Amino acid sequence: LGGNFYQLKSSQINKIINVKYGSDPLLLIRQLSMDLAQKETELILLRNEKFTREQQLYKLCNEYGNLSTLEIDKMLNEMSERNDNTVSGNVNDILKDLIGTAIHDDIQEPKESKQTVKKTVPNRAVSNGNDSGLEGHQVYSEANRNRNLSVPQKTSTRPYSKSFPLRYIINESTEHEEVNKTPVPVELESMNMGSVDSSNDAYTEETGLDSSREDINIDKYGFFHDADLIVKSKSPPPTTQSRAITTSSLDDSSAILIGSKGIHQTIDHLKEISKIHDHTNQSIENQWDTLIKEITKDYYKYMTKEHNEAREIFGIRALNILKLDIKMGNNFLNEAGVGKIKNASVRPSSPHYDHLLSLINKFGISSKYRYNLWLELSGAKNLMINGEYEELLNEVKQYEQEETSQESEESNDRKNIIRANVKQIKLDLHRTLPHNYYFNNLIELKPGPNFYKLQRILYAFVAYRPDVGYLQGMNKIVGNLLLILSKSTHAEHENFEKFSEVDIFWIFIGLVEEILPKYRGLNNTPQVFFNSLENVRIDQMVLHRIYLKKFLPELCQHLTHLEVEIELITLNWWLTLFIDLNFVSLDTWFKLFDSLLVDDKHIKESAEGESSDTSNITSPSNAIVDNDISDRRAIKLISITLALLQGLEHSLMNMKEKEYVYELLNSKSSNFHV
Amino acid sequence: MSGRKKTLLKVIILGDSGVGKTSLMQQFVNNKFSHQYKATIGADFLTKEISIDGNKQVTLQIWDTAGQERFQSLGVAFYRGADCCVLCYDVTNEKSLNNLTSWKDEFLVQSNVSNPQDFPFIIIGNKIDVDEAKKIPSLQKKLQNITNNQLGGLNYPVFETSAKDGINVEAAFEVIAKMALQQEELNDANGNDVSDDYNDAINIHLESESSGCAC
Repeated sequence: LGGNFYQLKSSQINKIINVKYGSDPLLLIRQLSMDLAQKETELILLRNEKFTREQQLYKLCNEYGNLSTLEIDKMLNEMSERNDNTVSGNVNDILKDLIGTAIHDDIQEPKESKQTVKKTVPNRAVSNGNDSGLEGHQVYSEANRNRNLSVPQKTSTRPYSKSFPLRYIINESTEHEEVNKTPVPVELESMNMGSVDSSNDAYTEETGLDSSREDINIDKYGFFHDADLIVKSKSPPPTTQSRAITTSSLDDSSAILIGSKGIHQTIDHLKEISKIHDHTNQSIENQWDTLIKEITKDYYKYMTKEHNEAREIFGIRALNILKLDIKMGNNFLNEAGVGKIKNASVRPSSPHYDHLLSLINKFGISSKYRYNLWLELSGAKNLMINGEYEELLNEVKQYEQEETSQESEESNDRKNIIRANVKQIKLDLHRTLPHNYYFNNLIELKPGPNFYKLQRILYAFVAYRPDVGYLQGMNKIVGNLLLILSKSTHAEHENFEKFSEVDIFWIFIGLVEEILPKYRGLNNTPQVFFNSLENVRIDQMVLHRIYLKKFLPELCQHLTHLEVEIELITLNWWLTLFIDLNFVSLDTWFKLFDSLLVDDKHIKESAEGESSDTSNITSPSNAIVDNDISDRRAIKLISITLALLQGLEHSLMNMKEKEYVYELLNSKSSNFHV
Repeated sequence: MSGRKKTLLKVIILGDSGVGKTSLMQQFVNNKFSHQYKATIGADFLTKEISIDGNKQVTLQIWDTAGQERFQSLGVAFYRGADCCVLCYDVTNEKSLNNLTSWKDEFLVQSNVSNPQDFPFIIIGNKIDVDEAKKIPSLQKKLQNITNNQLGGLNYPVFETSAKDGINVEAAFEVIAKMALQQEELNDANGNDVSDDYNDAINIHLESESSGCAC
């Protein structure tokens, strides 16, 4: 039927009924309702399409924009709020148009239409009293967001699924309110019911689409983006204070800009921001290129004779660079001659080393060089023994098989220790990065490739250092390290599939043996971080009683006032090397790990200034005999902890109850970014 | 007692790695179960407000601890101020049942509670949803044996739960909350007495009177 049917006079309609429908008005009504139902389905299909596009946008933003779904939502909401007046006005017009083509209302039936409006009032009540089309629009977007938050998962129990269809129906009913504003046909009510049913069908259809679509909604590191993972925000918090300023100011400005402009302008701004983003990345990469080039050049110029065999330009914690700098300084002095010593003193004592540190602390290592630099800085390259990894693995596998055949043998100490560790590792493998595609393939319901890599690396580790053994938390650290191998970050690296697993093993060994603090236990036995929890606790006390007090006095006082035992939380931070904090994104964590691999001059100096104080605390415990070593190494962990706390300081200072503080620091809340 | 003051009860969940401590806590606090929990490192906690006997509002602060033995040395920090301790085992894992005693002893050593003899413990056997065939054979006998011979014959409440299906979890935590509240009130009373002791020597006299009345 024509869209302007309602403009006809009653007599004309009567005529049509007589001619077209054999004077049976029921047929006309049926025709009208069929038309309406058809339009409804069209609407639903349209919305499906829009939803699909929105999902794709989310995915794109997630993959390339480094934005969390939460942030995208916020921006979209701000946009839709600004444009509500115009946009939803249009929506209403369009709806009216669509409906106008489908139905005609005789003005002779105003009472009935009023009744139907009344009957839909309960629906409105359900939808929180939204009675205007504008708010209906908002509810729609809200329902949409809800849908995004409740990304269905094949295996999980889908905690949100109960509320989801309800919200969907609410959203549906608000749309009918819009319908109701236009003249209403007699049978609308029954049709209303029918369309709600059909919307349910559409819902099931949509979830089908959703789950297949959402399952492949995986970010570049392989994380599934479901409700839990939205928590894992992508906003880049700093490891050092300088980075905090640059990144957060960029984010803020973009949010403000977007909020105040229309859609087209927003798109322009997004383009601009992405340009800036690319530009920044490019300039960082260029800086790295330059540095690496210079260092390589000077290295071969000055160091070839002595260091030809090692082929390690940087060395553990970049100490080779320090050597290079000293050597260059000497050469400079020699060349310049005695008379120009004054000039020489103006020259920084370690230009390359300082440059490297400043780049690492400001931007983190460029992903282009990260892999190789990790290998050198961690000491992995130095420690690596060809074939060792395979040998260790063979040993563990042998024990594992024996275990099933002959249980009772308890002669070999080493064997038993390894077995006990293997048992615990097996328990934890499934509980490591369960939301990551490479560890737990939720699509095919099987472990991902990194699951087995993690298993082998941990097995090899307990065989390499049975005295240290496996400590829960190692699984997370190794797991995160394995993520650097995800394809997008290292596509350019040839053969990396083949060598990477072994490399990560040695990087972890380097981390344990060279990077993390070392302690001395009873009888002066050397201990590493992971088998010296008591000493780690002492360092925690040093952190809170001395450094927190000195560097963040207000926060320290505030936490004491609230009776927050912050050690309970920061101990966890340390044991997992700051993984799992939702205010530290994976990208940030990589940068954090970068900075862990080199010493921090400034902190080191200030630590030396403090050393008289520290010794007062640490020496009575008599656990740390080698004060120098342990302090110097733990200082890096302490400084990172302080930097994180400083980033959170503002939020923390506003909290009046300790539960909230625990919640924030324990990463249960997603509302805070550094 | 006045209901105005917010009562915070600290509950510690202990037990071997993988018995389902995190799942129990999640099921109770958030009514959900996931196959994808991460291994707990150190300790972690959630809070939930509940009402006991329908009138008394309390906040349960439930501490979920790491099961790996090596973390036991850190317990001293986490156990402080606990009002109730939940000892968990896995009904399919006999070792986890046998370890209950050592978890209890370790807790008492590290928490330094004032009344180790009658500190409230509760035992939870988790994973009853699994096949009967996988369960520990003659479980009840063994459990009985352990409570009689190793847990000092004390009648700690025992619950068999399924964190996965949410069976008995609510009921267990209701008992936990009641026990914790009792302990808290006891502590409060003792705590006041102790501080009075320190502050005012004269009070000692008054106290002995009041304690006499109580007996």
